[in-house]
Amino acid sequence: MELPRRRRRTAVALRCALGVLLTTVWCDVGMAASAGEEDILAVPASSQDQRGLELAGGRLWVSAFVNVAFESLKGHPEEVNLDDLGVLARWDPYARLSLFTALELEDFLGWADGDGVFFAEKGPAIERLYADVSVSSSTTLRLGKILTPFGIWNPIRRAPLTWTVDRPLVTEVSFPLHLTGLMLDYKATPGDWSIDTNLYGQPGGELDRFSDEKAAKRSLGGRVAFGHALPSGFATAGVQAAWFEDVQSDDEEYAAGVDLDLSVAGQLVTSEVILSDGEVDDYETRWGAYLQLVSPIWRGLFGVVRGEIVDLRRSEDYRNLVLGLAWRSENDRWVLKLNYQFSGHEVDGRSDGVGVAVSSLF
Amino acid sequence: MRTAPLGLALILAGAPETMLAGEVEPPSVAVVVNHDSTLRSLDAEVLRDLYLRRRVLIADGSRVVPVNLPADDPLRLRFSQLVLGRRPAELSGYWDRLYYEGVRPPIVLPSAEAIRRYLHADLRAIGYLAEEEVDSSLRVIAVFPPHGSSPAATSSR
Repeated sequence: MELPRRRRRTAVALRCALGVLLTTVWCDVGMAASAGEEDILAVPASSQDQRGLELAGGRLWVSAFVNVAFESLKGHPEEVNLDDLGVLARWDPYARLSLFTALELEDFLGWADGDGVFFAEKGPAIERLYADVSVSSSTTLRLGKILTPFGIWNPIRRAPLTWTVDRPLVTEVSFPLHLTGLMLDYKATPGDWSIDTNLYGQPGGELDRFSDEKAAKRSLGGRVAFGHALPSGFATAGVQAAWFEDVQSDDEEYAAGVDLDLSVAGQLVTSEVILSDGEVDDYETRWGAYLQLVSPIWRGLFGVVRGEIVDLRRSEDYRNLVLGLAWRSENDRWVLKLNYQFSGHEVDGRSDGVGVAVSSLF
Repeated sequence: MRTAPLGLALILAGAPETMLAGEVEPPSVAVVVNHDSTLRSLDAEVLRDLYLRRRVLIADGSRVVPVNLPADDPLRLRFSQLVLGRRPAELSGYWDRLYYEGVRPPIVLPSAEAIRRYLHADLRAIGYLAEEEVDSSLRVIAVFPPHGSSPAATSSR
């Protein structure tokens, strides 16, 4: 299919930029290897806490993640899907500058009952590509394509980091999931508290947009999160708001939310409440919320319960209950998830049924 | 003799339990850097942020490289509770999230000797040792005594 001229230029410019970046990184790795610098990492390091591969004296880090999911949902054919396959890379050429990218193949390979085997329709997409510039020890300027820092779920959206096969609906339909622009991040640590604040803006369209995601032509938003240690755990509470111009509808929309992330004596509680005027399956949303509890059962086995409700203006509320088990391997590399979800009625392809997923962040 | 001013008011946790008769007293934890490092002292909050990788630079703009002992090392457990307010196992979810942005936890070295060697080789590095394991090539910038959750001011070595 012929791409419009402007998109072709953008794609070429993007590939050139990536090419220059990779060449520079390669040179940096080569120089570090040939300079004969003292290998202070020659001290045998435990790999227990470490993931990925470090190169160039630790300045370059590369990792990968994968997710294979099986879903049998009411009204849909059974499907097995290698639905996330990605590479992460971070390069720290200078003390104040870091470059990061996440490239991803979505729906790479799968099988659906009745349709047989299917392959990805497009090549790797740029999920994130940004530069971090440390303005001071507590302030960072992030420039590029990032995951919108709205709530808890969106910034950790990938399967190895989550406890259920599907994400809550309200975290997917209320705000643009990515932004391409600028974010100013400020961290403060007054006493026992940690405070993370960010402000962000997207002046134009999204870089290498995922076509099935909610996206913005322009956006502006911010978030403040407060963290505090508890006698046997840690709590973080956040509040945020975003204004944006939706790509599909051209309408100006807003989203505002609060969230809580609580870890006490091994019990994990996560909740988000989001007010918005977005759309999903032609229903306008007004507000939505979920509450998720994760409790250790035995060794790496956890029980998971999540309830969600989304108020849809032109339909009855969407209600969803997920009951599940999650097993994390001893080295924390592999996660196996088994879910059953009950949905009042189907919205955005979510209906009653079973989901199983195996995922890893290497 | 230079004194390291340490207004380190520590995060909670880690208040040691009452010692039982015959129980060996845990060592003081000394936070150390290379003797030639420009680092003279650190606030508790900055030390916590460095070990949680919430920040990588200190006030003068230089990068600091924190190093850790293995997750099951008793000194690591004590340091983690005293400084970070959580045990290493309680931080696994936190690190998973940061890994997803390419931010790695502090380097893990297998022993006190490895920490010493690393600090000798890298002026940017900061680590911790049992106080009696500190030699004259290192500078102590904080000491957490065996009983009590606050560090004592100490002379640099």
